[in-house]
Amino acid sequence: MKSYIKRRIISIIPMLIGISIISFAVIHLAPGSPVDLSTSLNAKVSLEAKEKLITQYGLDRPVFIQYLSWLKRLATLDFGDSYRDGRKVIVKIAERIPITLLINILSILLILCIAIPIGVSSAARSGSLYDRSMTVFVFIGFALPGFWLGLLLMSLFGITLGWLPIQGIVSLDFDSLSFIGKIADVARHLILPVFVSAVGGLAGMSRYMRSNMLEVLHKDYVRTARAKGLPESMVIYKHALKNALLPVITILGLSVPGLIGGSVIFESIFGIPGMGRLFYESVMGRDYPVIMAILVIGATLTLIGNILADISYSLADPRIRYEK
Amino acid sequence: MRSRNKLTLFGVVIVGLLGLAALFAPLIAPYDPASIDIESALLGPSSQHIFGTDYLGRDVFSRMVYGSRISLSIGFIAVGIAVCIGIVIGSIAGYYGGKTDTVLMRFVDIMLCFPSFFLILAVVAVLEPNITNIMIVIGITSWMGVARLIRAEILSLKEREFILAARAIGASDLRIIVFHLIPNAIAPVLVSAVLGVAAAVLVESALSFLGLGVQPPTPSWGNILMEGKASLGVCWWLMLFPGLAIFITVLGYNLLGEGLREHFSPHK
Repeated sequence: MKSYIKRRIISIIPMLIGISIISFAVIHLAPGSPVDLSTSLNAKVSLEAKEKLITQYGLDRPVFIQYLSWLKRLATLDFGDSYRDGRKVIVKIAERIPITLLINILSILLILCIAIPIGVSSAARSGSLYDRSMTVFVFIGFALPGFWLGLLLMSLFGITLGWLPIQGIVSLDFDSLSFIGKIADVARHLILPVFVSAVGGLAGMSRYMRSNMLEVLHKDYVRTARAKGLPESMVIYKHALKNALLPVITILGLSVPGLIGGSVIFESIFGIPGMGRLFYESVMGRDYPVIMAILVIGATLTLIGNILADISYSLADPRIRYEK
Repeated sequence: MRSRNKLTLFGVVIVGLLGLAALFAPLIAPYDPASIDIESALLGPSSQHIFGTDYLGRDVFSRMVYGSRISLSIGFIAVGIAVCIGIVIGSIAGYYGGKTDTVLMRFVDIMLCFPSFFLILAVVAVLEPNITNIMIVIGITSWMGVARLIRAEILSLKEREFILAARAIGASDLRIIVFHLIPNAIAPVLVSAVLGVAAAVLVESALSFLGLGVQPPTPSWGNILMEGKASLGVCWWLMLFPGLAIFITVLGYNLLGEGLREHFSPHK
């Protein structure tokens, strides 16, 4: 067990190096130099200024050397300075990460709280009208473009009904509110973004939960539980559910990149100052140090999510033994 | 089972109708999608303009019909690129095994660590956002699933008698992979390709919606929706119809894909 965890953690190192190579290559192997694009959009930039930029960012050196020096700074979490405002990239990202993580964690919780009961009850009554309507609901949830749903809800709850705020995470009078008032204010701002970012995952997770549960319900130990006369609710909630829940851990790990990637869209729509919006702004402004840093951080968060999922799975399920 | 079949049939109908709309766009669209008529800007739906007009007075329905050409061609070509890359990498990894397999699959793992939308946006930041680049970008960031599928299929096929027989009569590796392994491993890839079209349409419309995809004046569902966002709460038709189109397209391809999966499923 311990050796499994150790091996899993050691395996992070080559993955991190791969992540850094791809993040770097995406920006540097494309035709033209990063400076080309940021200057070609602005006719006022002279050739001289362009050369200065090139030397300043070390773009006149071979790509391989550029990568190594970037990697060296990366190891100390130094992602360089933003092209746009000259601030430290790591500082810019650090102030944006908490809100993105908060929204993602809340939407994961929402997904679990709704999807698991739906999946379990659909499987328990498989083939019923309820199950079939849930299947339709799942297909609809899958196909709804999140950004469109966001717009629809914004115009319904924000504009037509005027119940919820549609932009930002705090109101203009935030500073004058009491502590409780502040929490309530943030909560009101987060309702729509959290719901919208959860919808896709909700559909996926309830479907996944349903098929897990169906599989478990055909197992011998469930037949045994029924045969010894346990009431159906006991069979489902005590014997079947526990086993059907295990693979959910893995799926949670796998859903991290989708949620983080989706934050670009939701944060842009709802004007939330998180990492996704920073990424969008950096893409629009071609702020390469920030883009590379967020790529590395996004991928690293995913990697950590996956490894935590694997380790907790192996801890939760004693049948899994990773020998060797 | 019967309701499943109905859902699949529904998917087939949607996919078919959309394909026809895209093919015969010039016959269906009542107006030229690019003709500007400021006099009739931002009109709500009426008998002349069933989906209303945009801020330049262009007919939204006509733009959406032409937009279906853009969305579907991006979806198909992006998936085509992804399937080609996935088949090459997956079959090499599965057939040769050993170190080649480890290296290639590690590469797949690393690619999967990146939130795909981040990767796509980063590449779009470097390249100009235009239709060709978007097809390529979506293609090169979504082949990993296909690679894994093909590899798994080939791993289970390559020790079977017919492959041993092919090898015994001296067929080359390339011949075995291309003529014997891939044709037998293609069914799950077909399913994932159909689902991939839905995903690619979704990604393209999200990119266009953010202003980093298909650039106006070329019509795309995503960039009409972007105009809808600018007039949120006022010109509801700019927001409702293109979103509905994306939703129905994605739904149709998902239903068809799931139906195919069911059809190929060995558990049946």
